[in-house]
Amino acid sequence: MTHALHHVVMLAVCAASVGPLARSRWPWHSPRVALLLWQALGLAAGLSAVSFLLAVGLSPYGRGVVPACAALVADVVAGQVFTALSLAHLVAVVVGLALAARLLVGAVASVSGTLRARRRHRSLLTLLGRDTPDGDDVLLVDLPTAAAYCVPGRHPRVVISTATRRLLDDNQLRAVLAHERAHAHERHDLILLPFTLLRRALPNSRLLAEAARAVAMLVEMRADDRALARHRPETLAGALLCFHPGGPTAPGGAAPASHEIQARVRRLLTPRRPLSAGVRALLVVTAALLALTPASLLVLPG
Amino acid sequence: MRNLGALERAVMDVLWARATPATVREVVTDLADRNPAYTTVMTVLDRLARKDFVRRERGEDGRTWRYVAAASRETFVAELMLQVLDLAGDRDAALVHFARSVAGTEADVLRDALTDDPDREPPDRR
Repeated sequence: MTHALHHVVMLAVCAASVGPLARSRWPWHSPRVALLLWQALGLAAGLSAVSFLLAVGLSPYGRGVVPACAALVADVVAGQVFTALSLAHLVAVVVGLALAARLLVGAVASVSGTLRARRRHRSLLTLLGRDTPDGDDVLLVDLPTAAAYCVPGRHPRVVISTATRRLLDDNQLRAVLAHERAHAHERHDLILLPFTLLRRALPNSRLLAEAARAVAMLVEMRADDRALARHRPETLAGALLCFHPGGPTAPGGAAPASHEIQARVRRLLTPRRPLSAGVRALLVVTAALLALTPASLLVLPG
Repeated sequence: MRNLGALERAVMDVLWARATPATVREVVTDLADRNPAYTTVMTVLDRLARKDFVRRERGEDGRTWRYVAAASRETFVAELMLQVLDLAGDRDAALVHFARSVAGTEADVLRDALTDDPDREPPDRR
């Protein structure tokens, strides 16, 4: 049962760290390391959740989940499964496997839905997008709304709307393109994916919603940082302020910038203070431990 | 790929400009300034049909295929816009944005534009 206990403790640790981590401001100083930590947290929580019931059910074998599964299969084949496991243990295994299968099916459906939407979007862009002088990977679409986004994939496309071009000056536009290319090149869609999948599995979880929001924010900040390599922070901040619904485009223009945009603008306009190398190293080690603990429990004897 | 895309765009423009279904030959004629090969246009029309941008129907003689745009340009723009604004109804983010900018009325106008069109077929049938 020690394995099952470990998984419960791990889940509790993950759940307890989401709130504080999401509300802290220090991750904003080094978004990349913070994103690594979030990935490890998500992985650890996912693995522990899936492994918990299996670990309970397979505890009589006294091995990790993976070798114990192999032993179970061998026992089933030999027709002596009830000598190895009690009915209660078997129920736990079956429910655990069913849960894992459901999660997997949901994940596959979610990913294929996203890929289908992207394919459709790319087709629409072929019809409606125009080439621009801003780069081979940039398409212009005639939309009345300010929009700038990237279609991720192996051949990523950055798309801007005609309204965006009207709204931004040349420098701001180039800064926005740099931001979008950072999303594309660092595959931020894949960083967001695990949290999308977890949220899909548990749509009503406030904790997961909070985690997904924090990760989305960090991804934006990371892309902002990449854009800052070539562009001035004031330029990017100006572009951001043009964009939100209360910006110069919006009728009335009274709506305040969203919390996220405000935070990003404020962050851009204050001097950068990345975390020290020591702290970052510590965070990387923490992330590795977080991810490896439940993973090792899958194979180590209990 | 880029050239094929340009041709797809040109073919759609031809179909949008015509009020009635057109044969491959007619599309080739309308594209005279590009001087495309008959088979190339046929390939492009097939591709467009696979993507549900174009519908294929038998002509009056019952043998030749005729092609017609599956929806107006505006409908496709509206569909694109819905995806851009993330209003298509799926939670799974297919695109990564610079910043969200959605005004409520805009979203309503778009939804109306999409639901008003009786000819429109759901894009995700396969």
